[in-house]
Amino acid sequence: MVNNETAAELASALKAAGFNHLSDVTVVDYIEEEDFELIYHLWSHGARKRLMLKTRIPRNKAIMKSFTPIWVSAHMHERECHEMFGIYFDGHTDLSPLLLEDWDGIPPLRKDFDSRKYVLETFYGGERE
Amino acid sequence: MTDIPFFTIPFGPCHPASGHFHASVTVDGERVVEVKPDPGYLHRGFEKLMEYRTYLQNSPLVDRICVLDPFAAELGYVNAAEKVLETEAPERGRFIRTIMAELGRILSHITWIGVTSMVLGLDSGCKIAWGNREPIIRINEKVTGGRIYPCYFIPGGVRRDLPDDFPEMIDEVFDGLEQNLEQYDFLIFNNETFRVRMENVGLLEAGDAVDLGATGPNLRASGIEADVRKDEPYEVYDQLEFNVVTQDKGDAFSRGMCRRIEIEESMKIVRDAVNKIPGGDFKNKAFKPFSKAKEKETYFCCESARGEQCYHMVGDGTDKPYRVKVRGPSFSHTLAEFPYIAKDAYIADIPAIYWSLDPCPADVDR
Repeated sequence: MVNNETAAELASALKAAGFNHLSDVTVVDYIEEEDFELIYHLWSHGARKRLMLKTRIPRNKAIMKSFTPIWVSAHMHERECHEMFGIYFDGHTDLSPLLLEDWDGIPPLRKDFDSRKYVLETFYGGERE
Repeated sequence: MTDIPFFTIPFGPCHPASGHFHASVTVDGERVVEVKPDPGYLHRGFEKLMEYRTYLQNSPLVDRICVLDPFAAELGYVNAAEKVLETEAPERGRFIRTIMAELGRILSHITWIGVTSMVLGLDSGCKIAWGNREPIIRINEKVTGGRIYPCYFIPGGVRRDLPDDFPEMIDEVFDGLEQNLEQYDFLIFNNETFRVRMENVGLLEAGDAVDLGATGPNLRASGIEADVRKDEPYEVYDQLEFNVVTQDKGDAFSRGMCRRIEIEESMKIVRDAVNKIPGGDFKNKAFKPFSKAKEKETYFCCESARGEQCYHMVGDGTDKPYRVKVRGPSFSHTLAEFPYIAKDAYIADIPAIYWSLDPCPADVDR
């Protein structure tokens, strides 16, 4: 777990150390702690080692530095995180919607979005149990 | 020529070669200038749905992540779930899972051979490959009860044991498959038209492949020996004999050859595993439908037919996961590599390039 302001520096150092494959970026919404946890899953093809780089950002100010200058493959992962959690990635060139279409509700993978309630209201008029 | 404006053509989602995937292809005459991927036609929100279901209920759900290789999706899921549930599958269960996952890989690669020959205009190759899938699908049905979606692996093992005549079934099906492979070599891989369409098309250098997040056969075709089964052995792969298949050219044909040779390697693994499979329990009875997970998280990767299939799972002490993130291998193949290698290609090569990456739109969107 590292501070979100120093995460980019550490990420660059890790890339230089051989962690050249960014496998995935996960966001976990810890709503009770009012934080988003960002987890970068790294893999080194040379050393054959896996590593998780974790950082937290506050939910009410969800801004994170984009890692696209470090790993090109971060582009689509960050775009998905922006769409699903509403995190703004500073320095990202294209944060347009990726998987959803005409979505204007709150980002759906946030814990305060209740998909069952949404389905009930949208498709059943809120009546079915 | 320069006064003719660029033209944008939609590739998919109704194109016979695109699957449920759309990309805007901008062309300058015959040359592709830019490819803009537009996924989402198969977005079903599995990651959210999984937060509402127990660990057992999620097991049939993950099948749907990729219809072409459901065993790998299940295998990754149950291993990640076992880590947060702190339960383990018995040895026999892990052997069975390995065998079925390899059969899934063979099935997926045969599908690839079929679809690729179809998009290149070799329709008979498609029909033959589709027919050749059937014996393996019948094994699936006999073992799991499902032809395509097995819903077979559960945390702590598998749902039921292998039938008694399983080794004979495998022998019979593999004898047929060996003949099929000879037929593929003759009809497809040594076919001059096929080679002309695939060789030196869609070149992906090793460095670019790593940067763009390629995994699986797409990465190995560029000369990098990376296979989760060898690098971080899971299930019983460390007890089985097999080679990591690599090619060095990085073109569409190499990616195809990688898959073609991997079928033989998978057959080797299955035969080896069938010989070595121990007796005993096939599932851990300590796991119950409402077993509670520990407050811990894990990131588990397995090698699917397309590459790294990973699950990041966070348990919160209840019987449902707090968060599951699914990494489908096609996510980076379709959204990062495809636009990169399709740039500057001929428009007629787009289906060959796209299918050489063996994309599965379902696991891009999840």
